[in-house]
Amino acid sequence: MVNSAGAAGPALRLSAVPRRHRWAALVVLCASALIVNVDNTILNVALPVLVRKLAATSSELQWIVDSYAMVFAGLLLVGGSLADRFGRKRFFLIGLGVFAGGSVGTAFSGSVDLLIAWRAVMGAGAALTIPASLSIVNDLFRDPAERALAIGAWAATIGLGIAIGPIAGGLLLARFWWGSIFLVNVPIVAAAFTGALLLVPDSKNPAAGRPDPWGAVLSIAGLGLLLWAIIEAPASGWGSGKVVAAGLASLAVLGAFVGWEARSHHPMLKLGFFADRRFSVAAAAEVLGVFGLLGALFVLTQFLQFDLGLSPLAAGLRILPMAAVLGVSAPLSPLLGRVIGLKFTVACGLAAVAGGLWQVSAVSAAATTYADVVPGLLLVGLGAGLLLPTATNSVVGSVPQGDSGTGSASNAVALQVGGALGVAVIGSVLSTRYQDHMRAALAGRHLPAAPVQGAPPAPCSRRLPAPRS
Amino acid sequence: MSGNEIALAVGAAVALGGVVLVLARLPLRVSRDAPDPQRQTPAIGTRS
Repeated sequence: MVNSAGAAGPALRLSAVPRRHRWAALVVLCASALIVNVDNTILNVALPVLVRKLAATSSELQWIVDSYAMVFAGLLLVGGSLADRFGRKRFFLIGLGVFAGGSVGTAFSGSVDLLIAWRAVMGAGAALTIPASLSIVNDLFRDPAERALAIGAWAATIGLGIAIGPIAGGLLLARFWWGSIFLVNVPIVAAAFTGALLLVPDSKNPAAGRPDPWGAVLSIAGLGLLLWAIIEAPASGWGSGKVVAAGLASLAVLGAFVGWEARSHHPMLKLGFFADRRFSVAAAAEVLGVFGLLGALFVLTQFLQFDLGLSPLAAGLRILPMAAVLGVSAPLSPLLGRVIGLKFTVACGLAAVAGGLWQVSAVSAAATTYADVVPGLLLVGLGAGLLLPTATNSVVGSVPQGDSGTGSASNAVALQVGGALGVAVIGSVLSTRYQDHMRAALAGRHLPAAPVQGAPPAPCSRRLPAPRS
Repeated sequence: MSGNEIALAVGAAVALGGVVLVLARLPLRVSRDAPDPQRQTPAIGTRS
């Protein structure tokens, strides 16, 4: 086992890990990140099945999706902080175990309530896994060029996971029962767990202070409320009482979190990180870029299903070129960054996302074929591929090595908030256009009409796009 | 304009805002591409 001598000598460095073990460990870490992010979107194609099998209402469907996203986002900073303090490998393995347990529980849930609870467990496992995995990548690769490539590969798997989730779900549902989309996680996680035991070294911040329980409570509550308000807004309306109340409450709690962290002698999140523009501006760029990426995915999914009449699987397959371009451009992003620099690589990525959205916008009114939107789809994939690796490298690289878990968690929070905002804002704009389609789709599935009134489609067609082919 | 056009234009405008922000505020390079004494300092303890 790598680092088995570590018990005899704490001075053993991660840089002593053999090169081939480092890259093998990266495969394990990327596989884990991939499966966790696939679960962000794989459920969307299964929602109609859940309506039939578990008699889930539209409100319950929303909680099935939201429980994962809320717990995931809420626990991220805590997960990163725990990994820094008590061991990144330890919390990576714990996270994988929790995620696998949650997947089994979800797959065999006999009721909607159990399904919602197990999805929350999966979110908790994901929140422990993601920050730990990125911080281990950051630890393993000390050479700047290697580290940029490794983080690029890790960031690419995040984007790929989001894009291939619906496709994987559609393929599984075509042959197996609905629980298979969760059960498929188990062998992959088991392989990653075993690989991590053998290949991934442990590390932590030996200078970490005492735990920060109040900071943990405030960050969980603040981020959880923020995500809930964002996700709920398209369905209930941005001005609805509960959305405004949750939004204001989240701002108040996050304000209290900032105040607490500023005064604490052992803060969970050092606010000084935000003074470094490589951290704060790169994280903001991620929020804005993922806003466009997830927003584009959302619009294109609706367009392909409702305007072109494709099934969720067929629509997912037509998103595949975006994932392919993202997968090709992401490894090139660090190389481009070395030539033209961080600033221009990130700017090019965002510009490509903007250009792709603009192209699709320009043709969407008259578009009648898939080919009309392909150029924009490819541009958005290219932009995300250029943006995510370099911006992630900047965010994680700007924090001290001992805090890389917290830095990685901050990066993940940016991605979650940006994605949720993109879907919510763009979903709200689209609400009128697809409202009739959604109502018709839900009516065919014996759902109560009331919750659907005025409700736009939510993240990645989670409001039951009806397959037409 | 249709809902699609407006929605996507909003997304494009947000991303363009990001371009402006990045060009104005993001440093040219990740400084750790150059030797970074703080990051070379062994801040990490390892265990098996």
